[in-house]
Amino acid sequence: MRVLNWQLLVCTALNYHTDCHSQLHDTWQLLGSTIIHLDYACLLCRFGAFLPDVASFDASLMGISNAEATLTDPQQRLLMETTSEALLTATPGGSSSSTFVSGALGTYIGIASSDYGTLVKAFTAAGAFHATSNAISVAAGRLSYTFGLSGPAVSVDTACSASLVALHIAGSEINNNVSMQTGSTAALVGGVHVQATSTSTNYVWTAGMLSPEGRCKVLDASADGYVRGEACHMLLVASAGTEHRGANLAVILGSAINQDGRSSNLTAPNGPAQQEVLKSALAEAGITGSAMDMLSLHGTGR
Amino acid sequence: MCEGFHNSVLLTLFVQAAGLDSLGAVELKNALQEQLSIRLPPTVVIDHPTIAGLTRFVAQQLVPAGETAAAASTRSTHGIAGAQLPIAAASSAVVPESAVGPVARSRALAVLAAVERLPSSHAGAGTSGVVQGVDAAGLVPVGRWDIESPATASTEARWVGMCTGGSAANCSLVVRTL
Repeated sequence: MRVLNWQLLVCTALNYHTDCHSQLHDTWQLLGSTIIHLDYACLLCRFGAFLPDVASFDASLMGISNAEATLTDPQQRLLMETTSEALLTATPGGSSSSTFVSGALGTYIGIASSDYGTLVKAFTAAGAFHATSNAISVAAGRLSYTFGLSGPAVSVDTACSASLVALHIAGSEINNNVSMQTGSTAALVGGVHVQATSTSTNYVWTAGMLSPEGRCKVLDASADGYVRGEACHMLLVASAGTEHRGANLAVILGSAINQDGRSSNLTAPNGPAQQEVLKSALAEAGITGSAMDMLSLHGTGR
Repeated sequence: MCEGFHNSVLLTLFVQAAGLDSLGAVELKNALQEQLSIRLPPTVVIDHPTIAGLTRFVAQQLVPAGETAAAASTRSTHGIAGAQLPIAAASSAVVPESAVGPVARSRALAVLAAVERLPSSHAGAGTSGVVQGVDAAGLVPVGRWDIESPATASTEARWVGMCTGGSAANCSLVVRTL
């Protein structure tokens, strides 16, 4: 216990000084060699980008009881909050203050983990809400239920690419429906990640994927891993070929997805495959690479 | 903010959720036809199952020759919904092209709303954070994970109830756990 208290003291004293990151790393290693009963790996991965006050939630506003809200994954709660905000702020056709009628909207959510379920399992007995409160499928389904949406409700798990894949799937379904003149031609597309426990971070750290410095230096020679972050995004998209013209926030011209196939190992990227998917997306959008002004990349570790 | 949301939620509430059954739907249609002197299709409540949608559809039926739909909807919705609702009625006016030019490809998606929650205390620190150099990553906040117990199964869940800002009468109990 004395050792653990000292660790807390060191952590608090160093606070957020970025130039002490490497010293912190060496300190943990030294402590780790003298601790035989504890899994010190969880004390090493001390970096990340965390949402402030992720736990607070106005349950009755979303029509669920406090009891169910407490058991519900904070990721699902964030999705509900951002969905209600998106539906309220949507401006179809450029009109500034019309209420967007939800109705036949699809819901496509990128979500890949649910750590909160381990806390619920450890501290509560099975009840009526346990089957749904932390289920990945319910992340999308609950939005359809809460807001009365009758389009497809799909939770997508392709790890870090999940929300972009969700967007592509939504676009495919919308365009198919436009061609067939049936089904929903608009959708909510979002993604969420909350690190409710340190478990997933421990695993990824042990696999050597996280940066000991807490900095993601993608494409740089000094790249040594990535940093896990939390966020929640929600878009409301609709087929641009229908009545949704005017002052939209943006227009998504095209998208594409593929897979690396056989690369050097399970998690390693494949350059030619990435080139192919970029070409597919440009072809889908009907533009050339020289027409792009900015490139935004996912922050990988290397 | 809570109050405004409740009003908007009412508008998008399915009338079925408010307790209107199939017989009630027929009675509502008949009452609208009688009071507004218009003809409505028998499935009007099913086709437009929310208050906002039904109002908009009925407003469109009320446009007399020579009057714009926008004026008619503003005039009619004031009585029906009991509040000023600037509903965008489908008018015969030409829809202006977007600022970035006409959307040629029908496979494109228009983004109508974008909401984000990002890990920084600075509001809007997403893309502006990149420009301003705001650092979103840092040490794990004390209290987020129980660093004294390596197995997260022994982390204690803390149950605290508090009320959010705004009108205390309108905002419900906020449930917090971690």
